[in-house]
Amino acid sequence: MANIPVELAVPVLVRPRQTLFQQIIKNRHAYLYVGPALFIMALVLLYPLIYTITLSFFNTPARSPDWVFIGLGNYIELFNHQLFWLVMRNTVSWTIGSTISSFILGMAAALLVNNRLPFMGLFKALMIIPYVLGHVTAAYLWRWLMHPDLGFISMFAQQIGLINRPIPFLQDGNLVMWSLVLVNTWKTFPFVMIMILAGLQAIPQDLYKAARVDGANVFQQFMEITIPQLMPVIMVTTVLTVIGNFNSFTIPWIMTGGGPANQSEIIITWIYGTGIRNLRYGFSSAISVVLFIILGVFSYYYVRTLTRGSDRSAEFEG
Amino acid sequence: MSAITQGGSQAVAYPARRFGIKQRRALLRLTIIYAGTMVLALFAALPMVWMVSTAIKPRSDVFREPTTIIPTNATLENFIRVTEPLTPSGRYFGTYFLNSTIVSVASSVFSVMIAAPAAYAFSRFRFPGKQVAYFAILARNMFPLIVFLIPLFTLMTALQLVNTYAGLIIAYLTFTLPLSIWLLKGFFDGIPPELERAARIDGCTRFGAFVRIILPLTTPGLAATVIYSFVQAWNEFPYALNLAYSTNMRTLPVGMTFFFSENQSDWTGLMATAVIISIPVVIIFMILQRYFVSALTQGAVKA
Repeated sequence: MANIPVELAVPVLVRPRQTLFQQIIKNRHAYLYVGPALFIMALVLLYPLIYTITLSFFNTPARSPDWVFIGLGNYIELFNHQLFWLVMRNTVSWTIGSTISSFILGMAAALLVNNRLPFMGLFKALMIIPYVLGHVTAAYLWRWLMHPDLGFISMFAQQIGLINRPIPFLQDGNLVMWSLVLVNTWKTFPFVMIMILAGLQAIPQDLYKAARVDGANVFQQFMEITIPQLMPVIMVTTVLTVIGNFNSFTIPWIMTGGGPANQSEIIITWIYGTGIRNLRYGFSSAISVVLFIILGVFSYYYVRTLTRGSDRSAEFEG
Repeated sequence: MSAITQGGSQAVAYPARRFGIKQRRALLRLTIIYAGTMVLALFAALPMVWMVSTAIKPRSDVFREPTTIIPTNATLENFIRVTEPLTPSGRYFGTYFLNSTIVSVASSVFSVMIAAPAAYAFSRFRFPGKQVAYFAILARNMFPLIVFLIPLFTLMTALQLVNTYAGLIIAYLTFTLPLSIWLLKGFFDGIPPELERAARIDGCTRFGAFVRIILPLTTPGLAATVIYSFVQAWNEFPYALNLAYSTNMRTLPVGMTFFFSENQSDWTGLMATAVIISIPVVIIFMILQRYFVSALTQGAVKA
């Protein structure tokens, strides 16, 4: 007990104003904790960000180090590109379609397995597995399931007489986007289920008891208690699912590569295709920057929903 | 399982003719719940059943009609073909598996080691720049990996880290590190600061309190974070494809795409590979489901 740090023994009630420099010096220990992480983040995040923005103003001939500054040239080309609106439309179909369908299934699954009945734990575990599988695995698995001649879906549907011709899931330009949405739903709905389930379990049971005493039926209980209580979780899950789907690359890339005839091209596959496959770094970077701006809008909601949790630094001055 | 005694299940014990209105409604409710659950479980599981089914079929059986889910003559020949070091298709399997293991373990462990002190500082200390730094870290999760690929490739080329473990591990920190910091901060926030205060009064240093009091208390959280990062790294594809493409550096997902392009119609072999890749993550998940779920949902369900 000999050397009690003064700041621990005596609560400081009134803190004199300090200059920024004084604050940094006083809290220098904190930078030792965050330093390594921030260094790596700067290396793998900040540097690439600046690099991409810079690159978007240059014409970068393939396999040549000679960059030519062309100002907004890449952006002008992008907005006049024949694929621009198609890609935007596909991206919206893909993101919104996958989010809505995985939400409906995930919500239903959560409400079902939340019942305390035999085998529900088993069903829950079974339904989470698609989420744990790799995207590459999932993509090839579904490519095989959707194979027009040998795939399980077409073959089985023909065997039971549901259809008489194979379904060209990934070959038909009108169908391909929805086939991909189906695959993504399969991969994403368990995530929604896990989140909603955790939310459901955090609702105090007393609320339901009180409602039953007041004579509320199951539907009323759901609308008046479950939904309002779940709202914060629903918000976070929606934001996370939208961002996840928007950024999803592997499933569309492996299943169709954007084809046929760009009918399943979304922003991410377009960035990859123009940048990595066609080596048009500058143009690809311009698409990335447009993507940054779109994501900037999401980011506001994302960070706001995630930082709303408790922050203990206010009550702890180490 | 004690819940059986409640509500609807009682109805099952009664003979049918004695069903009152209450029992009938309870039975209806049970039927709806189980029917709905079965439909969803079937949607989730049937594709995976088909994956296993294809993987254990003889190669010629996939062309046979009518198709069957349960193979008539199950075999392990596909697994042998894709893993056997002496066959052209299985030559590199061991290498890919080893690469995946090294990169996933290293990146998840390193990221937690770097993230833990940072997350602790974000949870406990006040310092200038904290909000900006935390915002930047959270914001990283929103950006797709693809947009950083070209600059990272240039960076790794300059550092001569293309086609090395180190290069891929550093690249993987792009997504494992922010995720770990966010998850761990949540776990640290759940521990009352009074504990460190007590330790400090007992003469512990600030760092000592962190290492000896807080870290042991967050073991489940650390485990959850490592698992979550491991699964992410194990399944990662675009970075591995572009930063470690040489034959002896490929990870399993990348190896799978090369297997597919080299053996276009070998669906049984491809599904056998898919089964092998999935086994580790599914086993890990089965054993540690609770931690995995807590990692996913913490933060979202915080009061």
